[in-house]
Amino acid sequence: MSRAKYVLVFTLTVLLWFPLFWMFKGSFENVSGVLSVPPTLVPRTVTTANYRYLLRAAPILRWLGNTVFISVVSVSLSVSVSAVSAYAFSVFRFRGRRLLFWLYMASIMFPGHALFVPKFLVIRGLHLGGTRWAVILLYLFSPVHIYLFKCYLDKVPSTIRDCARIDGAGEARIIFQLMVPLCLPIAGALALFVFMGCLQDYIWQYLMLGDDAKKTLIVGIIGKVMREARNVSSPNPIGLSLAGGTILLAPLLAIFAVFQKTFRRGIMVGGVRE
Amino acid sequence: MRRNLLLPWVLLAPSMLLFAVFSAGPIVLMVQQSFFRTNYILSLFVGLKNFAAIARDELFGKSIVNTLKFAAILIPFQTLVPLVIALVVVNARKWLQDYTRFAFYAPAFASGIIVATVWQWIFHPTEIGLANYLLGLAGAEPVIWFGRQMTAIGAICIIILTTYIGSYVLIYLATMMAISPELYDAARVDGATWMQVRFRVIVPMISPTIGLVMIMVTISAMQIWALVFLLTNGGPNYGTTTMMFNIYEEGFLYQRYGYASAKSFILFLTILALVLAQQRFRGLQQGFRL
Amino acid sequence: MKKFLAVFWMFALVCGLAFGKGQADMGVPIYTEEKPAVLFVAKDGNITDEPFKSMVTAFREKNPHAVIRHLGIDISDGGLSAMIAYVAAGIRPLYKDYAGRVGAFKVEEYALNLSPYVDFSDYYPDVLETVTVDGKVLAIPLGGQYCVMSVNTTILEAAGFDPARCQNWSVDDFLEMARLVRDNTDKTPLAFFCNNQSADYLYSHVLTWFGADMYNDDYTESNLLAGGAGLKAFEMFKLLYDEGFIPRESAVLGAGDYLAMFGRGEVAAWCGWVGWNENFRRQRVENEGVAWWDFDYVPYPKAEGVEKAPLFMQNHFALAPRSDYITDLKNDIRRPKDAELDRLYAELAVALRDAEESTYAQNSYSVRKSLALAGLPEGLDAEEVARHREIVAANGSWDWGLSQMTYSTIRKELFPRLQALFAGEETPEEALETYVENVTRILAEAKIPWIEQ
Repeated sequence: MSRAKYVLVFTLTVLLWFPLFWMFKGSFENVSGVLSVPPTLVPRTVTTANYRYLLRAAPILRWLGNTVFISVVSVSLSVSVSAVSAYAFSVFRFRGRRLLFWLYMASIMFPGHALFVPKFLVIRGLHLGGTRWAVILLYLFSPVHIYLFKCYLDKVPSTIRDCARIDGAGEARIIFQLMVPLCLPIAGALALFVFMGCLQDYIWQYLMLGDDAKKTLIVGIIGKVMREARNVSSPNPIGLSLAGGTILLAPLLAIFAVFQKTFRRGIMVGGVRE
Repeated sequence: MRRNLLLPWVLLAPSMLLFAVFSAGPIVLMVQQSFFRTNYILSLFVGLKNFAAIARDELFGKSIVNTLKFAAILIPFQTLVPLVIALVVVNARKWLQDYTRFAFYAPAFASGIIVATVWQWIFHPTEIGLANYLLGLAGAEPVIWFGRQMTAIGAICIIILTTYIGSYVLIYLATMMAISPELYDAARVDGATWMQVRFRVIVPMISPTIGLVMIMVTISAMQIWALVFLLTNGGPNYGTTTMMFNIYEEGFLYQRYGYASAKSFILFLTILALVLAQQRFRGLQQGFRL
Repeated sequence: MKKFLAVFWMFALVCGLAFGKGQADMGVPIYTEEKPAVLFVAKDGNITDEPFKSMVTAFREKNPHAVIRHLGIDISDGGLSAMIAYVAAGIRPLYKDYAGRVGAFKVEEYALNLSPYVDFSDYYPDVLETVTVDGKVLAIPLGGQYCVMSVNTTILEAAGFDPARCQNWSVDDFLEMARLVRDNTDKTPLAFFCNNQSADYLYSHVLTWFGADMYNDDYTESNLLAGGAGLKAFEMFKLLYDEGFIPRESAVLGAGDYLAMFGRGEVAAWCGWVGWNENFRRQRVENEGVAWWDFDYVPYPKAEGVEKAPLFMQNHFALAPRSDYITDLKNDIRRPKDAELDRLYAELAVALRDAEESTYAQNSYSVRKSLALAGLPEGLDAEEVARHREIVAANGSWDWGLSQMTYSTIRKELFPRLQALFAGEETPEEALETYVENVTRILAEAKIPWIEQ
């Protein structure tokens, strides 16, 4: 039975990763390779022209800097807000708890496009138009994350807290020394989701950060890619977008790889023995 | 449970503030706009005329059917397949779990436009596309994937399934980790088999999460837009026009923002109805509960 | 561990507070008495590229005290939604874009009447009419392109069809050519892309082969059903597909496929803009080693009894905002009128027009009478352009509703009908009827007044 586990996981991995591999391979091809019949697993001619075009005269470091800035702030604030709200929902019973929660969940059922202009108007009304805060604030509130965190907290038996209280710890100490390490797995997962959202959300960043100095990586790269794709006489629009995709993928893979180690260490070992 | 009246509200203050300003505010504006005929240059109050027009709108009706077709395929698959995967690796060695998390989530790293480009390439109507090339090897004729409604819907569903499976696997695994190991030990001692441990112990323990995932999947299936926009542009002959896509067109293409807002409200009601129906229908399971 | 996290989060918060806000102006100029400011937005291009560079220089020379800013919009489809968001938020730039998108803003309530500031006597009347509302000229036409048919003479010769016959050919001639190409070569007779509306001018020409007329005189309904020309055109669409004269996958081919098809010399006949052929051919030959092929510009084939097969014209406009535009009719909120700001925007529009005309001289001849003999930029063959202009002069331009505010809505009606036609879901009669119904309905909706009588 255990053998089958590995077979299943690895087979599915190959299937799921195939498009990524295809993207990576295609980014190094020129147009005849990309459009070749039959499609080949290994490119016949390898060229870095696509990358050179995208990176030429592109302030990549600035874009990357903006992206990192927005991501770091968003991740830390969003996870904190979610954690704190989830703690409130999980640990306390108060009037209006159910109503508030349902309001939160209902808000994500509204389709995004119709909210596009109203959100823009709200941001502009707060005089935050064109700033990176506008983008950050839009990423902070996520009822789904709050619920996930709450579920996780529900599973933590209250005995842990009671033990600590008996030992004489104050509320703050309980939170920082006990709960925070406990929640690292879920916090890690949520941090990853928020980070992904920051790196991949094109529309809001495009709208709010049109200014070149504040552009983020995705807006910059996709802007270049799309300009070429719309330009009907460009030599290799497909290869270019594949190269763009690979460039956008790199930071994500890096962060994920690093993150894995961090939150693995935080997992509670042993549990509560009564 | 504690009955401290002030502390929870203090803790909730940040999220409430964000909710009020960035969620509720725009929603209220949107609902207000649904009573107007507006293109942002001119505005006219029309009361309920937008909603009356929705009832007569044939294309919107077609888009409702299309959206339900997508949902019917995606909801079961996207809820259950990640669950199965998580169940398979929950007891495995750490490195396999880490690897699973990474491997299954990674396809979601590629952003929408790139995903669309790669898959457009794979589903190219001639043998340039990998899918048709493989069909050719098996002796079949090349299929114009986005040329017929059912194959277009099928292709888009395949893309969504393979790309976005990872976050649900992560969610399931994370909540499974919180189950105390004692439960496993207890079940083992009682002589439970591999299957029984999973289906009698784990699944019931995480059934709220399953409920949540199903709701998340429903909400996202009802709001499919990006892949339709990038791959089929609503075609062929409006065959993949989802409600969200229709709303996008009404707003940004035809500049009937009031009408689009009214339709958005209807979409919201549809999603709400589906979520509530799921709550009722979950029967013996606990379902998504506070 | 927890210390690290606590420090990390503090640091992030502090950074956010310190650096996050930045300058909150979205490129919107800050208008003061001493430093009036204008803003512009254009599809395609940075402020450092032509024609904007020349425009900015010229404007600054004349108005050294004014500030000029640029809001960059990169993407053609996202451009309109971003523009709408800006307008909704009260940001008002000079907007330059293609007819379909600018059309939405070409209303009296938003656009500045440019007649007091610009001399329009040199413009062709039909072009000017597309930007005139109630006698007021609301945008400057910036030069357009005619969509002309080209034939790949290399393929025609290989197929056994004399290319010279295309210079004045009938629909029957065209069908003969298509049959020969289909049977004797492995190339496609006619290019066709109906995946979305942006290629409509590349295939809708079939309507003009039969002398069809899109609209009646006052744009209240579609005229395609009249006289049977529309039906013949739709039957021709079906014939082209059934006979294999257009690719089987036409319903899913879009903008990305033009280059692959024309440029590689895979099609015998196609419609395109001037300059595409040279560009594409050179690209494919240089990048892929595709064999050189020759082409000719030809008029559209004409059915019996049809004298002229008018060409499709697409041009772009520059439109300036009124300083006192009404944002809310119901509450009648108006800003105070500012003559100086109006004047500045009009000057910016004129500076753009002049810069455009010198940069894209080959397009400007189509809107201004005096520019008929303007010089050509490098890279374009004078003979070919001359031939192109001859065809345009002989056949004129087809009115497909560029002057209508609902132009981009109407455009979207044709390609789904063709998709249904090719999939066998509708007959030509049904497709045409549905098309005419939809277009008429859209025109009627546009005429609903904004103010309740």
